[in-house]
Amino acid sequence: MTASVAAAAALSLELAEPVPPEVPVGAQVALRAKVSGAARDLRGGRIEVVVDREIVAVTQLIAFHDDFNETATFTVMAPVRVGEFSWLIRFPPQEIDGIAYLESTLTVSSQATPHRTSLAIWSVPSPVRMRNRFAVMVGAKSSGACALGGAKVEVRDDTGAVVGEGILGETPWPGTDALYWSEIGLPGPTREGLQYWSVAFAAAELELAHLGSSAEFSLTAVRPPEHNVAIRVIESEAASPIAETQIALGPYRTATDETGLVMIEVPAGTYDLAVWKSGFEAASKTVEITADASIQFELNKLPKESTAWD
Amino acid sequence: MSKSPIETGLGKDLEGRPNAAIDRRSFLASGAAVVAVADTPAAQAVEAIAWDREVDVVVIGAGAGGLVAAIAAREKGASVLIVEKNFDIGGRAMMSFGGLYIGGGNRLQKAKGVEDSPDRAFADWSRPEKPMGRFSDRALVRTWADNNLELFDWLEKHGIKWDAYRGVPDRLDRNRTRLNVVRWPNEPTTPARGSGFVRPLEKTARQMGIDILLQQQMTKIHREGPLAGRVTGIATIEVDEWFKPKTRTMNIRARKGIIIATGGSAGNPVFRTMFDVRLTGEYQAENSEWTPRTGDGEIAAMEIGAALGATACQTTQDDNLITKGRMGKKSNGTITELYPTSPHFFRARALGLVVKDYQDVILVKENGLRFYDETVPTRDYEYYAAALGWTGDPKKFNGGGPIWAIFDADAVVREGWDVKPPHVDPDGYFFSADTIEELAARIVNEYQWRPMPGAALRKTVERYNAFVDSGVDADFKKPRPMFKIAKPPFYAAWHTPALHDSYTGVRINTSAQVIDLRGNVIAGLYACGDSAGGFGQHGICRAATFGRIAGFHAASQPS
Repeated sequence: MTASVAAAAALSLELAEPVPPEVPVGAQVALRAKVSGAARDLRGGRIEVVVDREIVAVTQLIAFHDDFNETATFTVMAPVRVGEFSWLIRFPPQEIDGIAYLESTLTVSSQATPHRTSLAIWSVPSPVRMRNRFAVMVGAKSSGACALGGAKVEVRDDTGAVVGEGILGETPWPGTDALYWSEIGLPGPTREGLQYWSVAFAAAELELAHLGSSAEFSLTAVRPPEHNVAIRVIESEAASPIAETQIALGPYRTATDETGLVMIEVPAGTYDLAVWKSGFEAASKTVEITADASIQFELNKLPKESTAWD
Repeated sequence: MSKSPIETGLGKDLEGRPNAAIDRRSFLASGAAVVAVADTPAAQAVEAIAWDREVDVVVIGAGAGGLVAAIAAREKGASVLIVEKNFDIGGRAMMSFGGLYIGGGNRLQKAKGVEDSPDRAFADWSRPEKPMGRFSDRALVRTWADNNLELFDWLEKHGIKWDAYRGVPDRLDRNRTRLNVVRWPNEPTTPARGSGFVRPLEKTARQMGIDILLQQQMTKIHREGPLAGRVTGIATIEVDEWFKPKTRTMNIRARKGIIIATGGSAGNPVFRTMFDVRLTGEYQAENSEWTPRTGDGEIAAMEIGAALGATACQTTQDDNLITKGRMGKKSNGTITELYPTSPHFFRARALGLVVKDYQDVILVKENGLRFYDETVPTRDYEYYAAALGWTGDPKKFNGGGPIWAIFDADAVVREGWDVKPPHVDPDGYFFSADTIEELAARIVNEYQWRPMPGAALRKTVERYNAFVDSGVDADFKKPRPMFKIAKPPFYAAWHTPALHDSYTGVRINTSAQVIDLRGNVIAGLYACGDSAGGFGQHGICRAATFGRIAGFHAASQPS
């Protein structure tokens, strides 16, 4: 028996969701094709995706909804080169349940874009000793979670001069998905005080195109220490030591031990001394350090109802 | 002296004098004269309702107020039925610290050398210099104070075991009146102490033959006329474990009285925005996984004419009507939580994280910008004013959108947080990422009206980190910023303010009778706990005081 030919004009092909106007290079793009106009169960019907006359994906209609048939969600890889691209979605001529159908096609276009990158900078010493080498950690992440091992990152000082560089390792930082990192040794600042340095990641020469990124980090440079400052923190009423109290003597940040004590080495100067412990009143004072010094701080407990409630 | 009918009516009924209640007989006898709404046929017959159940007293809600009310009514000989929409009893009290402001000079106070009396309790809790005291209905405060000693003995008689008074006076106490109950042994739902109030009363209630119908939501209070006459019963619908209505409905006749004990309205954005329009849907009522507190009782009562009481108590900007709460989960209330093994945990989804030190996080709005000193105490209402400020949503002008706590891997170590389920809810309320920009991009939440701009969040973090170097928060004057947000991975945890008590509800008199908009009693209808307005006191004792009064009064009504 000869199969009858369905009216070709009646079949139409579309996507359940349009292809996004931009997709990252090499990304897997999810598609679901719908065929309508047949008013028949076309399950098992073949759907192809054609790129440059080559079939890059084949799937089947698997669901019949009275007035249309559709495929499951399937993926097609976006081009690895940046630029506009088109895909031909095709319902090839085929016979389903004894009925022959003509070809139906749909062309979709989009733009393949580079992946984005972003950075993290951590373990910056606080503070940094002037003219003493120090190290920071730099991590880079591809929005496509691409491997970035071997790529170069640069650190610039506040004048914009490149002062260090590192090659990202092959293994992501523990606890991250795909943050590739490097420990970068740097020369100590020549200028005292707060300054803003930066990290630049060109993201060049990667397998897939990436946009570069940069990020800023701050640091405080200090002169070599001259004096020992002992700081002791006690609770005002009971005069008992308060452990793990955060201490900031100018840019020097540390915490008291279980005896409420902490030792800090600093150059001579005038400092803001701030003391912080959750549940106590924040306290600070200005201190002038001209020799070794010992400072006692009394903290007042906050009333319970201002910090917690029930 | 004023002779206006409304004032006269108010004065008479709100003082709760014995002749104030308009029972059905006097209502019918006096006809239209006492009916405020002229177009209601006064002698209208009881609605033709097919009653499925019939009891003397129906109590709506099996929390602190409801259980007490039920036992009180049963004790006076009434047959009692409780309907509760959860699949367990307990209401708000189950998740509470189990503390009652109950003093007046009882034996435990005497043993501690605390000198107290009803006069002192009344004086403390009606203090005009304190926002928490100045807006309360002093007739209700007086009633609370005068009932303290009797209630103490009565609760003991019905199974409550007292633990101890708090070491220091709490809230408006000058004396110590905050007494904790002993937690119910082996309570499987929550470590909170409140089980020590509701479980003993549940046991007593069941022993007394009080029927408790679970998963029944009251949908309507029947009244003889739309805005007149006695209340006659309630309509209910069976609900599923998510409080979604199923199909089976019931009409339950209440021969003597109906007692509303539905826990307040903190969980109902439509209702609560009547008092503070900023409190839109993103603000979660704490512990709503256990007790949704959707104002069911208040709404049903208002539909038959009830007024609201002492609404200023709700808008004092004092006490803990709103709080910072936990973070990393949707219903981010305070300290008490369900056990992950609790049969209710599926609704909570996570335990949440408690911030011990706000130096460990920055708080940003949906736009990635900080808005206030993170370290301020939880009762700093300027913090909430900033959190609830508008940030540009063109479709929503009220409320401030989500608040996100942003922190790094070092903060997790300092705080000792476990950033995995069941501690956090990664389904919209907790996110992590390798960089700050990617963290912003991952925040997808039902209340986040646009993606958080990643560049803005990165700038916020870089700027904050520089404050840690300089020692000065130039934007919000946080006490000396101590820690940078630098070490990956990075985290964003839901930390939107949470809502706690309801300090208004339907207006009641000192007999816990509900008052209508004309100042008249709605005969047979009572309210207690957070569903009743008039007394801005946190906790179980307010519920128990007026629950007990309601139960006694309802049982004494003619049937």
